[in-house]
Amino acid sequence: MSDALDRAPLLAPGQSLAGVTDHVSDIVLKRPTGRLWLAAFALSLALTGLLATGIVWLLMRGVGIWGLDMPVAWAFAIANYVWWIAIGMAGTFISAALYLTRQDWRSPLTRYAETMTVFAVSVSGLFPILHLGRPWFFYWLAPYPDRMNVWPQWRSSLLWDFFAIVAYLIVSLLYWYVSMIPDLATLRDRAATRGRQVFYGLLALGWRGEARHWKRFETLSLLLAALAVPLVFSVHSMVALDFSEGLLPGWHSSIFPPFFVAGALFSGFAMAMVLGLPLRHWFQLGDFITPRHIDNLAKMMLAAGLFVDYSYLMETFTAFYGMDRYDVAMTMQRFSGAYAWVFWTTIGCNVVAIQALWWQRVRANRAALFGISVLVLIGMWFERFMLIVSSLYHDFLPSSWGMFYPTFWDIAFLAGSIGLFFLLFLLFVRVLPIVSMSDMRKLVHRLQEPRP
Amino acid sequence: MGQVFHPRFGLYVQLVLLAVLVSLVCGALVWRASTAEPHGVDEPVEQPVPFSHKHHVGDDGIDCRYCHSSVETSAFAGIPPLSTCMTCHSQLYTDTAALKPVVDSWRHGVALHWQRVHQLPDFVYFNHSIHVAKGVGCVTCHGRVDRMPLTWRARPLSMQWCLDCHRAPQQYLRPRNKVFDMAWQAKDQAALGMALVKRYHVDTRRLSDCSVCHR
Amino acid sequence: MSANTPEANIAMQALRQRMAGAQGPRFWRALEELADDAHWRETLHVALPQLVALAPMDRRRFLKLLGASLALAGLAACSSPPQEQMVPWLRQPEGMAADSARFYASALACAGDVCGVLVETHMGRPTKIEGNPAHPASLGGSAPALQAAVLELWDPDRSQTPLHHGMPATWDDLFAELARLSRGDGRGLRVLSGAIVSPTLAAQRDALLQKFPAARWHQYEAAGQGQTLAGTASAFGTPLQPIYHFDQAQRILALDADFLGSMPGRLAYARAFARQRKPPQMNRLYAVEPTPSLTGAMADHCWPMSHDGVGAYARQLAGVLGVGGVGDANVDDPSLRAVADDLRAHKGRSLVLAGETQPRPVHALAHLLNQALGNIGHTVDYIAPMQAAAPDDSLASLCKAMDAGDVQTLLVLDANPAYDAPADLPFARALPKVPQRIHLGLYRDETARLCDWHLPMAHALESWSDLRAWDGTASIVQPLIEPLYAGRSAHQLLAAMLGQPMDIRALLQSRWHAGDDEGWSRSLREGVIADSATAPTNPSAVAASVPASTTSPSGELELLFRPDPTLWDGRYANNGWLQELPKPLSQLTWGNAALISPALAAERKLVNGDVVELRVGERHLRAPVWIMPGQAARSITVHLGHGRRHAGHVGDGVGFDANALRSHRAPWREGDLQLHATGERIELAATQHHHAMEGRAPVRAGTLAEYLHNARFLQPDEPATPPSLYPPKPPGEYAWGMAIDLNACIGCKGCTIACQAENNIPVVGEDQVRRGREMHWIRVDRYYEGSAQAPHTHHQPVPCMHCEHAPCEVVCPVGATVHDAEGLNLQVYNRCVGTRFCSNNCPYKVRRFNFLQYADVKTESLKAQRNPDVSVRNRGVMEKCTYCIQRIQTAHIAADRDGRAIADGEIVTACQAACPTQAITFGNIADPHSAVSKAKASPLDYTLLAELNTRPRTSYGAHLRNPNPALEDDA
Repeated sequence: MSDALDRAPLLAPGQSLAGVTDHVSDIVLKRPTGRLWLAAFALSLALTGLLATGIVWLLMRGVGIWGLDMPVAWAFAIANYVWWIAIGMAGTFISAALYLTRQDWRSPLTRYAETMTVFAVSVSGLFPILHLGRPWFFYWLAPYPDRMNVWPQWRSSLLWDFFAIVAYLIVSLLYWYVSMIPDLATLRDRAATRGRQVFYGLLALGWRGEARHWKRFETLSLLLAALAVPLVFSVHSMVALDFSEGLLPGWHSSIFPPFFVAGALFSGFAMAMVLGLPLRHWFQLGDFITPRHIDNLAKMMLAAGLFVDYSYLMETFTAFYGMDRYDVAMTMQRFSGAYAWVFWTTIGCNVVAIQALWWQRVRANRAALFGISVLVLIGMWFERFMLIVSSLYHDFLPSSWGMFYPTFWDIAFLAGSIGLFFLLFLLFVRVLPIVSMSDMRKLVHRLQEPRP
Repeated sequence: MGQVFHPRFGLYVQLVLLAVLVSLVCGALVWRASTAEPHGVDEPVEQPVPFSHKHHVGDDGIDCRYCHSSVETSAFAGIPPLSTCMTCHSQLYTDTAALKPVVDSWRHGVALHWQRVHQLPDFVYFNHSIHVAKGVGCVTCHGRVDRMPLTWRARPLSMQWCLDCHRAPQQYLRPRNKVFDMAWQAKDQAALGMALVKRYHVDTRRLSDCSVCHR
Repeated sequence: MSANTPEANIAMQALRQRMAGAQGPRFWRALEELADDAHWRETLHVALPQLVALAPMDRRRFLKLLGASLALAGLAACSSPPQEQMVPWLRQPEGMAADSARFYASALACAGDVCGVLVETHMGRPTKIEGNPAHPASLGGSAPALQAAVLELWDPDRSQTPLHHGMPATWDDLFAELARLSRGDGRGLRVLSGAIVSPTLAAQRDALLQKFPAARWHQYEAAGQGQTLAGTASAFGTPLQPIYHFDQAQRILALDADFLGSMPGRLAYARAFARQRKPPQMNRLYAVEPTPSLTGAMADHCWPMSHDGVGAYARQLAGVLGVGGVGDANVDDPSLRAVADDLRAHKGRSLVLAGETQPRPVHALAHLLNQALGNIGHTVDYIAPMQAAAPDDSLASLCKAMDAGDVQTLLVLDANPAYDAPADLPFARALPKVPQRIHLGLYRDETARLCDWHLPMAHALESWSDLRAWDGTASIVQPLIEPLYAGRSAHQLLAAMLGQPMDIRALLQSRWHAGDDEGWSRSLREGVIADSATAPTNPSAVAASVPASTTSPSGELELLFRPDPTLWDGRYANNGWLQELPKPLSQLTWGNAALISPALAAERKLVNGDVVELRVGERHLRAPVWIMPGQAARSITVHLGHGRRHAGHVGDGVGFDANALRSHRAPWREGDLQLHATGERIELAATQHHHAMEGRAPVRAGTLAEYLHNARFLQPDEPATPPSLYPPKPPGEYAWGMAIDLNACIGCKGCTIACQAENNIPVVGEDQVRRGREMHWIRVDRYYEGSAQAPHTHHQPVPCMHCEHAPCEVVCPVGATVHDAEGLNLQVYNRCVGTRFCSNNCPYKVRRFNFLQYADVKTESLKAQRNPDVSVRNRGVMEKCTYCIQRIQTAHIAADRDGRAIADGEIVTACQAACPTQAITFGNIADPHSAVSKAKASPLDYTLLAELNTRPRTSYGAHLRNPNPALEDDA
């Protein structure tokens, strides 16, 4: 570890209050639309179109367009869902948890991390609904009085999952929006054209920066943060219970909730890195997102990764320690079965690759960091796939064993969801401040006054 | 740069949001109402022949089973063959306009097409005979047909409504010999109901099982 | 029909001229061109009112309709349910209950057997077929083909109107032509039919041959009984039909004889055989066979050996037992000696039988052995066959005659030789040389397309007839419904030719119960004509010795032909239920394969699905291989009945046509087979991919000896059910449960298809089965134990276990699968949203999901087949075995109405009813005296995956074998 970086400044010298605001607001208000942005936008738009087509086809034909079968009745859709909602976690963690723990260095990262959360959760929310045999009845999971006089089945984890997602989506949306209000007001005031003034003005909800406003703003942020942090853990523990509740070998395990939360933060930090590095590069945010920020992110990624690796170890250990016939068989299947390559890919990405992060030189190398983060994202998707399929395709009775083969539409939905996410994110960087100006101004202020 | 928004603009925004919310709720309710059933409760249904239960049951006092002959033996209460109508109407009112479709149908051997009034979804397996055997009166579900000039649905026939009785049959049961009695009223339903549940061996443990109505 | 009015005929003439030259598909095209032409359209419709529908639809109109229908489909989502209408009778027919099911007794000829059946009808629609308990060939059980007959009745592909040169015509036109023919002595008239099992048809045949002395009647069955009858003929001098009594037999040797799977009387045999396998009493079955059969799978000792090896084995055995003057008495094969000793030790209580596929010398030997062992009259009787078997070359001589041009008129009665004739008979080539070709059949099949007249045949459920079962018992076949189309029966056609009255019913009554209405109605009611069974005539063998059968050099490959277990000779190829029913043992659906031995696969480096070229002389075809444990090393088996070219939408081009390699001289075996890998591979649609038990013992198996030593030897030491926090049994008055006796299950899959018929289970098609999405509610798993060369086979029917602690119930978020008070695990379709978590969490994987819209809700005739008491499931809904809840509720309501308790045995599930060996017992386990409680009390009773503590209501009786102690080494 390097003490140098720990004492490195959180903000490049020579940044003034005005400078910060100018730099960030100009990205939205003045900077022309780049060719690269257009290219990326076109690509994401195409993928989103693919997703839309897939959804229409799905609603017309049924989930049979995917490769699902008996025994593997869950596969891509659920893997995608868990993957996306996990990515969402880190955003809330960075902004809320670090906010509560008064970590100054979080300021420049919060905004785009929260945005990442909101979009990731929205995308993930699609899959639980689409994977239903009759998606148009998804609202039957909600308890509401109707002419049938029947209620949901409260023992099912899927039901609680439904609530968890909805709650998390609402809270993260609020938290994201509320924290943006002062910046929106800034943009309103700086906007040149009438249209933009109205647009930002509407969103700013008449923020005038009065002390009264700031007081309520601070209270609300604190409350929402306090609400969001437990959600980070509850939501993903809930997702984990979707599997733990099953009695399948490889699912029926009490280790899952902490394991899933760690995995969530792991992939979330990776995504934060994958988004942060390009932003920093293209929008010259080097002064705000300093090497020290990136270094911290990398360290957190490593920490979460190590926890995940530990869970892999424990899973295998308990299988052999418990000597349950089915657990052992399933574990051996993971190592050497038809889907062994999935397992080893996971290990390669989530265990081997991240070990490089021990070295400061790697953490300082943007390209390497980016590469490793992408690997982690891939690895975490494969982990979910492995978890679901390797338990299902060889369960209890040998007679009912069967393989899963993805169809074109399985791939299309995965690619499409990625497209949708980036589509939203690209729009975000064009119309909303990617760094929280209010937070940065506070940071500048705090750094400039002499510490007591 | 000048003021972007009018001072009262905030109010307008709030009003608009409220309006959106209200219209959404109304939309949902309207949709539910429009897709519920072909006919509303208490809404007389147009028929090819203006058949009046009021006249046949109320005035003439014909027993339900005279026409709905299989109500005690099978799931379907039975809708009378034209020959049953003809037992009287080969002599009575043969030349009235109202009866013309019946007479024609009989003469040319072309069946009449009645509009169904009490209509359940295909996944509901209702059985008349067992309800009659356990002492559920016609009136309980069909209302006072002896007062219906044109027949209408007197009860919602929704699952909730079915469950009301299946969960507490004692509130509705009547002695078997009063099942077809339109005017019968219990003196003390609570006590009687309990007694009947016992006497008719109504197994309340399984009465609200899904399998009782859905297969 | 209006098409035989004078002006229609004129119009038809005009059309014919206009159409001259147009043939086949081109012909229809020409018609459409005509239909475009306004002036011709008029003529067309006068001539062919049937063709109005053919009026072409231009693209714009099509798109308009398409758009409209799509729009409506969209609207349907947000519009109120349709207004139903009620259409009362004018006069209510006698005894037509409003909605309850009615059963009528009849009989069906299916897959080389004749069975009495009870046909369930709803409002006059036949919906389900059960075996007739009063009929000796059924005893209540039924085979897949029997169950599927009802689907055949409603098959939309059935031909619906007479066709003359492919153009719709009328029966009157045909009768006019036949009238011309009926002058003269019938020179040049030939009739071709299948085996005649209807006494009345036989009588009509004789009458026809009397009226037309010069006419000839030929018979051809692709899978007939020729060898069996020829075998008895060479043993006794006269052809006889053997009737076996397995209830008497303690020791049985089956020489390539599949008496459980394909022999006439198989259902009765299976019942009697299983009766003898209830420990502590168990018979012992030895089987020698070149390719695995249901019989071999049940055998206590099964030795695979080549086709000729079976013959050699029989001769050696005869030698050891000093029979038939063949072979020598000192054979040093210990296993054979042990078998001989075992048989000798059970004189009069043993049985040796040879299969149809073996040559006549082997049959003769079997009969001699039975005589030597004193079995005749005890374990085997012989009766006079209903009619002398047609000579093997019956079809051959017809082909020769056609080739020579001696045939003026050929009448094909419900046969399809253009498809199923052996390759060495040029039937299809010679047929066009016949001036007048008339075909009567259910479908416009390969033969129909080569004939100038095709006549739709009335289905067996639509027409009057009579049938004789294998033991001679006669039954009346009565129509359950008016013919759906313009079909007529073979009886009616022949009656027309003979100038007899068309009223077949009267013909039948005058034959069986002349003037005896009481007896007539009794026969109709009971489905059996009292004491019509043929009395046994047990002769003594005349043949002291039997001719030596040919033995081919060992090492060369041989090709064996077998009728398909479900499609038989191909006549059921268009039946979706039978196509999708996994073949016993191989578990293949939708198509056939060349079955090869593991040894050969290893030698040629072949894996399942590898396409090979099979070549016999200059005949050859390409076929995918399937590795079959228990297959004789050098024997390759192909099944008939596949590769149909004109079967219908379902059956066209499924599998390959094995007849292409067949010759009529040796119909069951071809020697000198060449096999070359082609390098191609296709994925066969099998429903089971893993065949070992992996030490998980889903099937608990042992031997009779172990059982006698300790009856509870298969019960685990620790308590069967671990403790649980959940409440014990549900409170209901009844507790439904099922017991399945693996000792009785022969793996015929009758239960699977009976369930499919009863519960409106859809057919999903080859591609979906390949993806593992078949919908059968009760599957029959098959596991192998021991060596791949001669494995022990275990069958295990797996319906829903109806667990007391059902894992599926806790995970459903909407409560669509719940327990009811009587312990049934319910699936509420209309509440299901399709999360599929229940299926993931079901350790038995008995749940089935409608991944797509599988149920055909468009085809009208298929709607008419469905069981009105069972919901039809749509896309996106989970489904599974319900213990036939509709039958439970019906009985419940009937009992509750009368205020009585439901009697034991009052509720019979569809699978239970169909099972020929009564392996399935269902009933109230709360009543200790019920049959199911008694079955569950057996020391062999166990539940599947008991360690998971799901506490299934379905339990199994362990599978016992009774090996010969002298052969323990290879037991």
